[in-house]
Amino acid sequence: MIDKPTYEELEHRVKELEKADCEKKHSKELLNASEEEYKSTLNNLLIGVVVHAYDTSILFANPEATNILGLTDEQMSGKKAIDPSWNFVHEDATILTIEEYPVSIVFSTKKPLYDYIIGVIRPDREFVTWVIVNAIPIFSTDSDLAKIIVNFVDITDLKQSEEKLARLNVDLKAKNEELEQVVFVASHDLRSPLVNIDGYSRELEYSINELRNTLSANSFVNILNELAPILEDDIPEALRFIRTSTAKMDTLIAGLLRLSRSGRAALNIESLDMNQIISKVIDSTEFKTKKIGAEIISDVLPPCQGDAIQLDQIFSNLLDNALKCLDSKRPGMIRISGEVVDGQSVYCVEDNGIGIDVNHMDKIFEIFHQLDPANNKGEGLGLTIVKRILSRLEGSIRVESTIDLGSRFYITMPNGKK
Amino acid sequence: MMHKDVIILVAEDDEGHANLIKKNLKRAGIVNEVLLFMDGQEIMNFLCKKGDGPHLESGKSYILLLDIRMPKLDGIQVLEQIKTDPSLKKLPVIMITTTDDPREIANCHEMGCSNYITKPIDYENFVTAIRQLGLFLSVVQIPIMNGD
Repeated sequence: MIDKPTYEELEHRVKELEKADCEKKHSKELLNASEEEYKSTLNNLLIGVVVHAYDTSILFANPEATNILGLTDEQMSGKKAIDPSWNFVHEDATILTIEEYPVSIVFSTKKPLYDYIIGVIRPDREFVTWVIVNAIPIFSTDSDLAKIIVNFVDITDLKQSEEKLARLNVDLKAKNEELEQVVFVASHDLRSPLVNIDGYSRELEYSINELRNTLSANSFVNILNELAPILEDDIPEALRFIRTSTAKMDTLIAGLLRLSRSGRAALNIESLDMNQIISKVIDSTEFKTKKIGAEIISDVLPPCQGDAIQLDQIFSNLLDNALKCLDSKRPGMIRISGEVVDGQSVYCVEDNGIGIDVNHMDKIFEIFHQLDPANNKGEGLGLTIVKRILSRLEGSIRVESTIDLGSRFYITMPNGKK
Repeated sequence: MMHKDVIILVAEDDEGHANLIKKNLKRAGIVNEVLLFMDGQEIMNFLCKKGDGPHLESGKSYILLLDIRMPKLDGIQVLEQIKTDPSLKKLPVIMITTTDDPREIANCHEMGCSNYITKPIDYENFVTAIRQLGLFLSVVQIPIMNGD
């Protein structure tokens, strides 16, 4: 016989039941709230989300999905027809077949699909709406395909900027070629008249000498004396200025041509042993270095990614400058060092020369600029060319200098090791 | 020794340059007849016996000093026409121009020019270059142009 529960026991049980009921109510509320939150999150995402069932039929699409695709829920679920002019396209503008739809690809491969770029041709838009799509298969516990979650972001703006950039790049390339052509032709055409200016100035000199000889041979000494200031001073002085200027003009034009060619040279980018390149450059300056009693030393240098010919040119120009700017008051010392800083190879060409005044620092990279034209035979192009080469090689240059102590030129180049 | 009957053809649009070339060839002892043409069309008319003006005569020998930048037909076009024409092909052509662009030099040699001279702007060098051209001309053998 079963004992009847006591009143206390019954009361306890009722309380337990009430408590369970209350908890159930509460968890239902929690569930509702969580579903609400989940829905509101999905509905407010700026990512299109479409959930397909295992048979690819659509279970759910968030508002952004319908918004991006320009389709209604009914059209998405197939309850209403889609305008035949509505299409998915590839980047090459060909129309996607049903098999190429993201959901179809995941359905057949059973693998996730990442970064698939497709365009949406919508009858209500003049332009293509571009999206980047990711599609993920979800498997049930017995590893059957349960769902496919397709999500996509509108990248139309990005795509349009990309196209604009590509167009601008083509324009820029054409402009650049045009400019180089102009420099080339101008250089040629500008040189032609110089041949005559220099040639006929010299011919004039010959004629004057002949005139002088004729006058003296025929004992027109009086006339010769009277003409002396003209024949000996004025005309030769005029001719000297004409010829010096012609030579200067020739140098400038040759420089322009050289600059134009340096920007045209094909680059062969590879990993470079800078020790080898620098020792070659040092060898080629040996004659000059010995002549002025200077010394060039090089530390062990890290490699870089670049073009061997262009790097040879860079360091030849820098060493050439360093040798030119040594101070006659002390033995010339030039040192090349290098280290890897933040994944970049940084080389330093350091000299103990005359240094550069801080006020002249900006000018040294300017085309045809020479700090000391009277004492230099150059064309004022060395550093301009160095800077130009470096910009083509994704490198850079900067300078530190103290007057009367020397200068340090830092060259930064891609190291190539990630 | 270049025969004194060889006629030197100079295609040069700059009268000053042509004159300086002539003057210095003479100083180098080249006394051959020099014919001057002011553009590419004029020299082609001479070679192809077209238009007014003088025409090439078969049985005579010629050498052409050819500038590149010229009006109407440029020197490259003239060189191309000469070297692709079976009856003109053997005419020696010396490019003599202000540009020293390596691409231009390579291009002219590929097309079959005999030599390429850059006109130096410095007159001393110019004189030397033409004098050497004169010396060169005085030792080369020049073919006779055939009739057609």
